[in-house]
Amino acid sequence: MWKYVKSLEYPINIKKKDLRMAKYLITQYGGSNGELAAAWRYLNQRYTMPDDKGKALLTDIGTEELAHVEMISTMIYQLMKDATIDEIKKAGLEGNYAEHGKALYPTDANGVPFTVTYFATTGDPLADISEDMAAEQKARAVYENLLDLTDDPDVIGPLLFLRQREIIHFTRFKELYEEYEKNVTK
Amino acid sequence: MNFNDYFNYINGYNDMNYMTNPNQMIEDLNYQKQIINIPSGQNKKNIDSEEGFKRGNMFQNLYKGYKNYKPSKLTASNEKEDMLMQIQEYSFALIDLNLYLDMYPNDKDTLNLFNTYLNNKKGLVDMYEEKYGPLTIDSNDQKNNWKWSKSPWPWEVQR
Repeated sequence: MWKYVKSLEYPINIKKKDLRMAKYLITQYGGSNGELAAAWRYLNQRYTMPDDKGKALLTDIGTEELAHVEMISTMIYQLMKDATIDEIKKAGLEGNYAEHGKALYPTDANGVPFTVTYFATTGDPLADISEDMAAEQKARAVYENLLDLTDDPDVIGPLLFLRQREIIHFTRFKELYEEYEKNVTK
Repeated sequence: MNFNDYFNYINGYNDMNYMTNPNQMIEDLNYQKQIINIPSGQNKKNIDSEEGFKRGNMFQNLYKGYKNYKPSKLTASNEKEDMLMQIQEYSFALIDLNLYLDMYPNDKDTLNLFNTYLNNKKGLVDMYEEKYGPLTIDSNDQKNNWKWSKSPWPWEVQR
């Protein structure tokens, strides 16, 4: 089971509202390479991992991704919370406001809602882990794109932190992949 | 690591001094210095939990920066924030070493390091919870009143 810790993984205190950035950032919540997709992809795949390393790593990285969902959600919430209706209209978010107000709703940066097809799962450890390696690299690339789009240090700090986590996760998945390639035969 | 020193410091804590001289205060908080050694496995590099937390990466040889960005400086504006940040730092070290140990469960040095951070964190969490309320629902500090639901929640701006 999971237990809630009343603290973020990394501190986030965004003082300046920025709807434009919130609109881009939402893709790391509800986009195909986002944290929500990563979390449940790993937590689904773990059941069919062939050994303790795979079961542990997918459980633990999946769990950390849940903390990243919370970080991204926190950033979007803080970027949007003081916005006026005029500012929402100006940022082109009136459709989103009509549907969801200021509530969190997982979509990509173009407003396409989250879909479970992002949970690529095949039951084949090599296929699943290589999918995960690609997902971590794609998420790293998206974090770099997002860094290019902001100059707010309160936003840059958490984005840099999250980008490093993609690098670590990629490395661990790669180590697991290489081990499975050598040792696991169907 | 001497928690008695920190505990004494906390008891003698004075908000006014803290606010007028925050840099000195941060310097005094040397309770947070820990040297981390990763002597085996594939990651033979040393990095302390403070730098590792700032970077989001406890492994020197796995750190790859982006353009000319430097990891953000984390500065607390009051004692509560400072303690929580220290807990987050130890928690982060545990998360990153956890993933490493999943892959290299026989690395005794990293296991020892994991246990060191775990003990450090436990001591600090007890002190924090006694003063500022529970971080997890099963913490034992709610004997007389229900503090769990008290704001701020993690997503709210803390300062």
